[in-house]
Amino acid sequence: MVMGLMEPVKLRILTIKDLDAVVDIDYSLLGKKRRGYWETRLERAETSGVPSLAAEVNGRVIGFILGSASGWEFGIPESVGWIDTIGVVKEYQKKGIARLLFKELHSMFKKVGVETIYVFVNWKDWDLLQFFDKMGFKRGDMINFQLNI
Amino acid sequence: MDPTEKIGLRPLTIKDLDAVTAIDISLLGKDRREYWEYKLENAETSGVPSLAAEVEGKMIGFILGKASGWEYGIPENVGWIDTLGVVKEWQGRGVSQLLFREMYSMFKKVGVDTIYVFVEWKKWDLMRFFEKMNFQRGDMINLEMKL
Repeated sequence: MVMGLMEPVKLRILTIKDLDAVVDIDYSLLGKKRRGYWETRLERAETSGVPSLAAEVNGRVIGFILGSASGWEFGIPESVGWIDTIGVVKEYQKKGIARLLFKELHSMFKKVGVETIYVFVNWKDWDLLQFFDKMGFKRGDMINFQLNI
Repeated sequence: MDPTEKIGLRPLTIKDLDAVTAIDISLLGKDRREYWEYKLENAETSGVPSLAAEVEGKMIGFILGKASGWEYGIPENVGWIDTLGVVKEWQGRGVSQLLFREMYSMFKKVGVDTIYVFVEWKKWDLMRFFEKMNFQRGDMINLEMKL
């Protein structure tokens, strides 16, 4: 259910043709152009086990979700699906778009045999933490370590 | 004699698929050839080369890393260490440290200012290793959902 939206939202598979749209949305959210980064990501998305998704309104991409299915790394069990990134343009936030994107990716993960979905969120991204809590996520077993060079 | 003397490091390529798969099986007891094929193919476009450690032409360990932009609030110029593996008979002899040091200097060269790693909280050997390498707890929280 998409709240407060007059126009129908359509979900479809994200491809390299969406590069411009994704770079723009990303730029509007983070204030930084990351074209090279997104080019690599979108190229890889096509071999990542599950398709990544775009949400469209009247032919315009207003949000996306990037996931991948992969085997374990450092003791992560097999059949794990990852949500790498989720982005929705500002004027369409808080209208259920992220939920729509997530639910669809969720059912695609299920179809390919993924048993656990993993996500990593910065502890200061409260909007995202709240969102994943609402989706039913729990704390996982992986600990993040970092080394400043 | 220092056993690390005869260890050579070189970039890991798709030609190492058999060797990496075999080491992985010996460590985890599971054949993940397809997974490694995907990882090694991507390794060549990942910003920094992944590395193999060799002794007399035989691979004894590897490290997989990548440099990437931010996701979910991870700053740019972040380098990731995805996986690190050393065959049993060479464990505890400084091979991981050798692999890590080399990757560290490659990260530095391409402008990475922070290295991230995710470790399961029960992998004490790995946590001890990264602690020795001076890693600190990071800001990212792992969330999971069972299907």
